[in-house]
Amino acid sequence: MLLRIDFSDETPIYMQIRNHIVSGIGSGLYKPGDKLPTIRTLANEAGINMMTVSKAYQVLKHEGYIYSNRRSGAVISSDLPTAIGIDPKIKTHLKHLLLEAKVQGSSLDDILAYCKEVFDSEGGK
Amino acid sequence: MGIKILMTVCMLPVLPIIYFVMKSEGTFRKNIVLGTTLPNEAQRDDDVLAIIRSFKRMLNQVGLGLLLMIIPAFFLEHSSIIIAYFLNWLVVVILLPYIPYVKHHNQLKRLKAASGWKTSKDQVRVVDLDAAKATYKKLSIQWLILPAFISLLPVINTIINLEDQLIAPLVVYVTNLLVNIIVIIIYGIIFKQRTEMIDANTDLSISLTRMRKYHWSKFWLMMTWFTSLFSLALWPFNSSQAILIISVIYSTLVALIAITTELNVRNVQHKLSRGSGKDFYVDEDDLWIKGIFYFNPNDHHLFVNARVGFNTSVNLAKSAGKAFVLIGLISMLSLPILSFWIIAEEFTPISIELTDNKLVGRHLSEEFSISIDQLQDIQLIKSLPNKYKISGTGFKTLSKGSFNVEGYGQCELLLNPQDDLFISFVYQGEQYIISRGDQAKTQELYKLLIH
Repeated sequence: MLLRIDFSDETPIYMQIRNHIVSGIGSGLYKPGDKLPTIRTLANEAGINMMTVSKAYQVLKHEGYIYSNRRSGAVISSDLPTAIGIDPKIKTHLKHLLLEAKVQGSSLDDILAYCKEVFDSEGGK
Repeated sequence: MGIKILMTVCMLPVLPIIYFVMKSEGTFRKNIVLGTTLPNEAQRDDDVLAIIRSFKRMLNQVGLGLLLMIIPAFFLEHSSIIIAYFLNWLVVVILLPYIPYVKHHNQLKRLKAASGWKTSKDQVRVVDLDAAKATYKKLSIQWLILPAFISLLPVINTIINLEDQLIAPLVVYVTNLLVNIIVIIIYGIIFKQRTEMIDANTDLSISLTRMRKYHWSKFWLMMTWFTSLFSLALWPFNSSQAILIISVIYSTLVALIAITTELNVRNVQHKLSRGSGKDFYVDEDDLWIKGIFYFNPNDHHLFVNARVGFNTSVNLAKSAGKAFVLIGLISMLSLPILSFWIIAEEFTPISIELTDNKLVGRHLSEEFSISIDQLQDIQLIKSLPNKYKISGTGFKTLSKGSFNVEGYGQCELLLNPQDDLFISFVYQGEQYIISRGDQAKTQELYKLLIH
């Protein structure tokens, strides 16, 4: 899977990495048990600081998306986080995005169609 | 004639090397041609093909012109002018082929923008996480340490048995040792270069990367062994002629294996990436100045895979990268300056004067200032015996420095070998032979010295 790091984006790089991996899990490109590159390798490939990659992996570990140990490195967790309804943090983000889409004139039907498209992609629940 | 043949043999091979490497920039590999990334459809586009043909035509004209530029050198008389001519020719050979390259790169870049093929956003870095996990076989460090150790032996031996005539070879031994040490240090850094990613095909990325690392690892290994063998081959000899001949052989071998390696890599890249660029492809054109110089402040790497030239380039956004390029530029531009100095060496007259009871020898700068009271064994020599240079300058009309003179051993010379009369003397255990250019002036100086 291709990770795109946009240095001009306001989103911190570690969050871009985190978001990419979570999206990959959601779309089924990353499955439980899949190994991620080591911190050193990913930092070298992306040309970024190892601390940045380490922070991304720490966030993912804290959120329960990955686990890591010395032998296996970072691995996609088989025990992914679940929420009843919508996770409050996701709800907040979603609300901002929906309101922005509304301001820009997107219709509810278009938004719902897109949501369905994302959910229906491989690995969507 | 000898110097003309020698300079031609040493310098001429640079032209075909640069010509063929530059010509291969006109071949698509990794979706890049003339330093410009293009989609697969562009490989059959008439306008693109026309630009490539025009580039090759112009490069042929430049190559032919540079080859013909050698001819005037054979009509020159003086060695320093011949050497100066070739040194400047070399600079022109290195720089001139970039003119057709840059001209057609710019045309291709404009065509790319006009055709809507531009996809890159200059601050986006794409990483294939699956390819990033691949591991590659790295050369074991002992294979590089062993030749470095071998090249250390002549250094130690020469230092222990150091004499004046061994200084020039010692410089070569130390240089070779440093070359091997530098290779050990930078090999690890260069091996860690990023995966060669040109599109979303993970297997292709891994294959390109593996192939590149394999071939260039082989090159570094061969180079360190050739460098240590160079030191060993020179060990039995002390003369500057031996250094010159063995240096030419060594440089030729290293250049040959470097070119072979680069062309092999390019050939495989061209074959492997033939079908690439149809959907997504990596486009980092905005990070390359004229497709030649890499500039990316968001990339912490100093060494990157080169787009033009051999294997590795530097990131100009880093201070060390700027320093590397600056050193390279200064080295190249010092050749014309060096040529002026060489001409000055040959054409500046020798000055040998008696001033305040001192014998002062000057040529460009002061060579010696000797109290005449300490001169011993002053003799007049009517014909100079055979000699060979240990270190210094040797032209038809100038011998300056350390020479081995038949019947005299190692001597310090400051004379014109074409003169008819010479003065030899011993000063502080060292043998000197000098001349003043004019037979009468030399005779006059001799009389002053013996009285």
